[in-house]
Amino acid sequence: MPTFPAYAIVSTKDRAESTRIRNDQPMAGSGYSIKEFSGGVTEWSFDVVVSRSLAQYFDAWFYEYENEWFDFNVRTEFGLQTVEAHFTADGIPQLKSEQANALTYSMKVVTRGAA
Amino acid sequence: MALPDFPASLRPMLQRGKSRTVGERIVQGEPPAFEQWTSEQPAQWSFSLSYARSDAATFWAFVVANRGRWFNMPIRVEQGYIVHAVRFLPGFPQLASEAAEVLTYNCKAEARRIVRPIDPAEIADYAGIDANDLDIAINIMWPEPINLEFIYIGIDGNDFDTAINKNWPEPL
Repeated sequence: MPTFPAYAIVSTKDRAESTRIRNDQPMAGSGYSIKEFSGGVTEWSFDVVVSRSLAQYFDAWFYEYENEWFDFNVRTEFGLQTVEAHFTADGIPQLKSEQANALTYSMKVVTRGAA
Repeated sequence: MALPDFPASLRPMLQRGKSRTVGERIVQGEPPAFEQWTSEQPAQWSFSLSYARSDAATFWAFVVANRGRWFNMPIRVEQGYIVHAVRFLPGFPQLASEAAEVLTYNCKAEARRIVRPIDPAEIADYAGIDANDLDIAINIMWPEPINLEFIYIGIDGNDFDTAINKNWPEPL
């Protein structure tokens, strides 16, 4: 399984988890929640800053592995963890800006497993 | 038919403020499962072009003559400064500002694909290496040294020469 390029700098990121419970409402009385799924998926949106000298390799990497699961090192509340990730259909890396020799790509991945 | 070239006298797109969007090649299902449904990856660039008034006339004449048509334009991408066949998207370019003698246009252009002269499959695995081009050229792409055993085949030496000059042990 390929590994997300280690040099990539995760400059900004946010995380969204799928819901595992749903709310229900009885005919009378207070509402309650029902567990629907024991597992969920997590989506990470983030930017990566790449120097121009390395951009061609990064570009080649995501062009080649766009549709493959890869190992992704991400810092969570419990420290740096390695999870399996895949670019979402609408989250493939897009060149967001170019400032001097720094190229910024924004992307979104979905992870499976812990984290 | 050969495509027209973007006027060589005009400065190409500025690096600052340039962004690019590439087309999606995969579809996503539930639970997260993916399938590639096309190999096509058209690209769209948003960028600005700024010209002095004298150059602006040349630029606008080119735009008017080539509305909706494909043309060759050099664009700086990851693999270098490479000519792409592009066309302006409908509604672009637009004159965004006019300050003194400088006219700035907002542009959007699309290409059928990003030109990558080097096959991405060949260099993709170098992405994880924290090295610059020189490191990769020297340590990965540099050809292996020639096997010296083969050199002796070409030497017009007898067994004695070989024993003395090649096989003799080094002094302690």
